[in-house]
Amino acid sequence: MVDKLVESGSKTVSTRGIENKFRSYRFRSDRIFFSAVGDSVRASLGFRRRARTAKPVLEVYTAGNNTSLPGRLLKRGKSGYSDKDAERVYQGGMHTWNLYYEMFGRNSIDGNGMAIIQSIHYGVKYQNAFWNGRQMVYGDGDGTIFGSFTSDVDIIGHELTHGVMQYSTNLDYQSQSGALNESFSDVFGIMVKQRMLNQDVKASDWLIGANVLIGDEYAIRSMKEPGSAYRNHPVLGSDPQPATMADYRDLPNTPEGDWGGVHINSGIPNFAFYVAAFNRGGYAWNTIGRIWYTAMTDTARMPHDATFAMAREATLYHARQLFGEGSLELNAVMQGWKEAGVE
Amino acid sequence: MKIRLIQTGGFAGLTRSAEIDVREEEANALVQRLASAAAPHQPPANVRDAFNHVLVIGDKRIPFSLEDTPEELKPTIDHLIANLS
Repeated sequence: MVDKLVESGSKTVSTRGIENKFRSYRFRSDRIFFSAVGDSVRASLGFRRRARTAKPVLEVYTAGNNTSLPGRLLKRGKSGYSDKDAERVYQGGMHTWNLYYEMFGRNSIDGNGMAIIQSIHYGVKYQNAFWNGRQMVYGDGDGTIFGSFTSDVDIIGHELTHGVMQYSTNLDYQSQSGALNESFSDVFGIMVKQRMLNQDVKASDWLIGANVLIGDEYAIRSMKEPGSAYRNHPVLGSDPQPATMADYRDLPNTPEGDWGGVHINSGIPNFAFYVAAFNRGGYAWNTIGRIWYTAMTDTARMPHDATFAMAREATLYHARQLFGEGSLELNAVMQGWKEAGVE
Repeated sequence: MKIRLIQTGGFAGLTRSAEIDVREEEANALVQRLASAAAPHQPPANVRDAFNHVLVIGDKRIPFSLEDTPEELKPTIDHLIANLS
């Protein structure tokens, strides 16, 4: 209990770096000593176990092809989980936590060490992954159109980011704010994948769900070229995403219209991010990713009903704050929104 | 009488639907019983990437929650879900 509280206390990245350095020269001799003494001795010497840095708390459950959540807690052995899907969401959750903590100084979903809860094998042949307001949920797919929704780390990063937004700017899930909600999830999802693979903006395929949609030529979304993720798919047809405001889809704010096309119009801010990151070059999380993170968590400039134009303003503001007037980053962000047709 | 299930949203944001033919009294019973699972006509507060489901019978449309589907309607709804295209 005390450990949990200590662990969940937020520490800055720089503190963590210093602590790691400190630990590295102290570690060898201390390890031998501390392995021989119990917690009470450690405490009496003034050392609190695992208190130096924040660590992620990850829990994986199986819904057992049922629909009650979270389901049954799975245990992780020394060599990982025996269930392949469990190991994937565990690793994906870890990579996502690492991106948020190491690059943006955020400790988990709520910024305060909240447990990352994930349930696999939801429903029967369930063709979806979602965030239910408390946790992430993954279906196995039907095996013909969709594989398991645990197959892509960007999907895991996408769902966890919905949680991050719930605890920051909880963008309304309709129309432009809803499309921004979807886009931020893709933006951080793709950065989780890029960082895991150590890919810069040129090496990345900028595809979301490249594995889950079965078939080498198919993915669920393309941030580089929205509308091209799948073409003439025998069941799904062709990717309907626009890349620019000229092709914005004015869909009804109803369930039939997916609340104004939140999963369709997200192509526009996705494309703005891609162009900005690509023009800046290097690793997305070091530059444009930082700008997008600061904007996403700025509830004053990014209120719950934010429009694309407000997202543009917020990212330009934070590009100036973080990198300065006339910086490569600011110019790249301007170019990104311009190419997406957002003014 | 035709009844149609429309599914939208989900992570992939696809619109898919399925149809079956039922007798009129069966359709009317379906409308009445599904009322208990009717979903509010507004976007979800905190749920993200969930599917949206709407049953269309004649000129009636009923947005509903799959999880709240009454037990006796499940075979019909499950059949429609399995045949979405």
